[in-house]
This record gives sequence, C-alpha cells and structure tokens, in this order.
Amino acid sequence: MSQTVKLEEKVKAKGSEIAEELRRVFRQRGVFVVNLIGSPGSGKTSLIEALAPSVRGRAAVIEGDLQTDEDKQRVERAGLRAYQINTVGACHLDAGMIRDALARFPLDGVSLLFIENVGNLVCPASFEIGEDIKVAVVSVTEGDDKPAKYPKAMCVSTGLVITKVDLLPHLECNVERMKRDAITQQPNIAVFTTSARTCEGLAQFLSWIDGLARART
Amino acid sequence: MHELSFATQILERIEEEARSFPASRVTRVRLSAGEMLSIENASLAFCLEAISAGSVMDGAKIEIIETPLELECARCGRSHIASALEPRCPRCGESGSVVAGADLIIEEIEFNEPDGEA
Repeated sequence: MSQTVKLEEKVKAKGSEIAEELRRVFRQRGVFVVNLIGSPGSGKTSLIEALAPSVRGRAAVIEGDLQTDEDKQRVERAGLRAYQINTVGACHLDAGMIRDALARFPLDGVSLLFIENVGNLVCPASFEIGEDIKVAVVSVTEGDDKPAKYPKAMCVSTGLVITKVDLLPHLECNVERMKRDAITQQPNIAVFTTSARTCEGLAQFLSWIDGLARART
Repeated sequence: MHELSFATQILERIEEEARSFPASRVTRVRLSAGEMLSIENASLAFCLEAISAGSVMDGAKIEIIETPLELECARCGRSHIASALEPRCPRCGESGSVVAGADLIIEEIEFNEPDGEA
C-alpha cells in the first residue's frame, strides 16, 4: 500500500532555532552583533583592527577560521577581547558554534560583537548565527565584478564595506560598478568605501553601526 | 558547499514523519529548492542518498524541483520572476519582497509498505 503525505514544509537551515535563541540572549544583554562575511584576504580582520581604537572597551570579537588563532592574536594586539573558533573543515560558522563559544567567552561589558566568519562569500550567506546584521566585505583587489557574482551575499547583507580603496590608483577597478551591482541586488544596502591603512570611511561605517544599534533598543 | 547540512535537516524531518507509518519505508521524496539558496541539486541528492543509507528512506527516489526567485513589487504589488542581473520590477523598476524562491521545501513524501510484510 502506498501513501503520499503532502508536507509542504520549509526546511530550516541547520541551527536556525539556535540562532533565534542567541538573538534573544544578545538582545537581553544589550549586545549588537555584526556578522562579517567576505572572501579570504578581503580585509575583514584589518577592518576590525582599524576600528579597534574607536571601540576598545565596548567591543569584542569572535573569529572563525579553519585553522590557527592568528586572527584572534591580531585583534587582541589591537586591544580587543577575542575568541577563536576553528571550524577545521567547515566552510562557515553555524549558530551552534557561536553558542559553544559564548559558554567560554563571557560578554560582560560588551555592547558590540563582531563575528568574523570563515573567509568565503558563498556559504556564510545562508546561515543565521544570531546576528543583527550581516555586512559583506569586498576588497577592490578582488575585482569589481564580485557583488554581481555573489548576489546571495548582497541580498542578505545590510551593509557592504568596500576595502583597500587606497590601492585604487594601482588597479583597474570600478567602485561605482560595485556599488551599482550591490544596490541592484539589495536596494537598501548601505555601501562604505574604506581603507584600513588611511582610515578612510571607517568613522562613517562605525557611526552607521552605532545608529542601527541605538534603533534596535 | 552547504548541501550536507540541509540534507541532515531533511532526513531528520522525514524520520520524524515516518514514525506515523511504522510498517512503511519512504520510497519517494519531492523537494523544491529556491534559486536564492544557491543549492546544487545534484549535490543535495548525493548528500541525501549518502546519509540515508540504512535509514527509513534508504533507496528512496529523490526529486528536486528548482523554484525561481519571485518578487512582489513594492509599488504595483504584482509579482515577477527576478533575473539575477535585474531583480527590480519590469513595469515600475521598483524593488520588491520575496514571494518564492528563497526556501527549501519538503513538498511530499511517499510511503510504501514492503510486499508480503503488511
């Protein structure tokens, strides 16, 4: 005897219930969470290092990498408290990993948490890890076609940080095209052109984050 | 690259549903995968087959339908299939909200009682 069950039910991405639980915890504790997603070498860690002097004392960082704690050491040297997750094989962080990290990394006195995802512009876009916003990080050295080529990353991001703009004189990279393609995919995306070296655009990026954090509470 | 974690979620949900049909096995599963998820259908089917070995859905036929991204225009309220290069409304040029194409859905599950065991 054959029976067909019409389920018509959404499959939740792994960890989406945990992500909701984390979101409640972060809200209760007044922590605004920014999930940074971007390719390896796009400048995610450098961005955090460059922001460090302005957020010292109120911000902490969770670093996600396959191997090593180099990024944790870098942001600690910049003066921020940090915790390293090593995913070994996994190409993205998931909510369960963040929950485990929080058990060992108390966030007392922290109102802003940066989570630097594993370097990858594909998979991290599909997973909620309890963040308030995702911010895509794309460098000018990767080429100006990246926002168009990774539409999902743009669609799920509230902000796009274009990094390393101090290198533009040496490159053929059309920043206007990057902005246009990102806005086509996500009309409400906020775009920042930045350089961790010259600090260009960093104050604007940080005051945008702080504005969103204030609006949330 | 994240098909395996979706496959795990699917198998868990199907095993849960299968408890209502203790004498049956799952012989067919129909899924629809939204375009926006960036799921590779062949890879999802492969992952499902691999993790189903020895489970209630071992050997089940897996059908995956791709659902295009459909948006409802914020201005005119009509929906349209979004192209990856131009997701705005073809009539008004306005952006829209997602109606379909962003989710992975288990559409139906077919259960069969093995012959002679009923």
